[in-house]
Amino acid sequence: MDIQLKRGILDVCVLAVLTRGDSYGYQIIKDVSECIEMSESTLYPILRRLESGKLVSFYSVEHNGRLRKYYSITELGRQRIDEFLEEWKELLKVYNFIMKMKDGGENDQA
Amino acid sequence: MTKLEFLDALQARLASLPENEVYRLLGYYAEMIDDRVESGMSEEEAVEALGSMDSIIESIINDMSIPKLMRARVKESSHRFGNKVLWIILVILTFPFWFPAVMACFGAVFSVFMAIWGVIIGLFVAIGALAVSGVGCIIGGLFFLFTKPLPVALFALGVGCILSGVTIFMIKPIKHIAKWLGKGISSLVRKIKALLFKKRRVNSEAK
Repeated sequence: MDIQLKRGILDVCVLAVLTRGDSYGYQIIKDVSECIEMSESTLYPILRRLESGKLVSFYSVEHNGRLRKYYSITELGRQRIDEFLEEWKELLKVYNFIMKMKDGGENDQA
Repeated sequence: MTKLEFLDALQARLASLPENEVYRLLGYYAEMIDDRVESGMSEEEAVEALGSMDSIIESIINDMSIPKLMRARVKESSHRFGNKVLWIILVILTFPFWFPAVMACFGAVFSVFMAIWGVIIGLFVAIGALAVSGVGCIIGGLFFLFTKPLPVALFALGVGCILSGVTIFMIKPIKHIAKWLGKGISSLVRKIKALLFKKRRVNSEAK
């Protein structure tokens, strides 16, 4: 997949995971990996970006004698998801159009 | 590699980045390893699962902007100098020497980018001109059929057809070249970042 495209999608995947409740790094990776492959080194810049854009906030919780950083989605983050879904509705229209044209063309030839 | 060995190695590689940045990164990777160990992996397996050190470093620098990398570099060289006041005085006194050099570097990089863009724009202008003159010759030729001797009109028509043909022929290669140059620009940006980082790493190892 195109790097630029994947980057934008992963951002929203992380946000989507956080709509189900606050979460921490390792859990986010496990959840997102259900649909798209993601490594630790990919998640770090994403979290930084979301943080600096105020799409997520974070707090530390003590866990087994160490600190674990929990992330929670902000109102701005939820808005970003809605924007994304809106954008993709349009893209889906284009996708369907392309498929229709392509299939139509093949049938004509046959 | 154990967790501590990994974190030490990572810290050494990142020595030239701002302190708070390094602190956050180390915290992040320490937490990742701890969580993996908690889910049943051994420490070595957990470190292994993070991927190669090089790919980790690469993802970090690719995410930083060029100005940020440069600021880190300037900050680091001031750290290395020890005596801050003397360093500042030296920076001010040597201003006439380093300022033109820095500007020249910026200028050089900037002009390379502009040159690449110039080529891209030039290619499209050229093909546009070809198209316009081709169509112009054909229209002119048709007009000449009625106003000029036949050979002149035929000549104009012929030239018009050749120019239009060349235009159509060139559209695809030019698009490819433009795309290729565009990719060149983004890979150049990545190389500059790597260069800034690598230099700093060598320096920090030298001290």
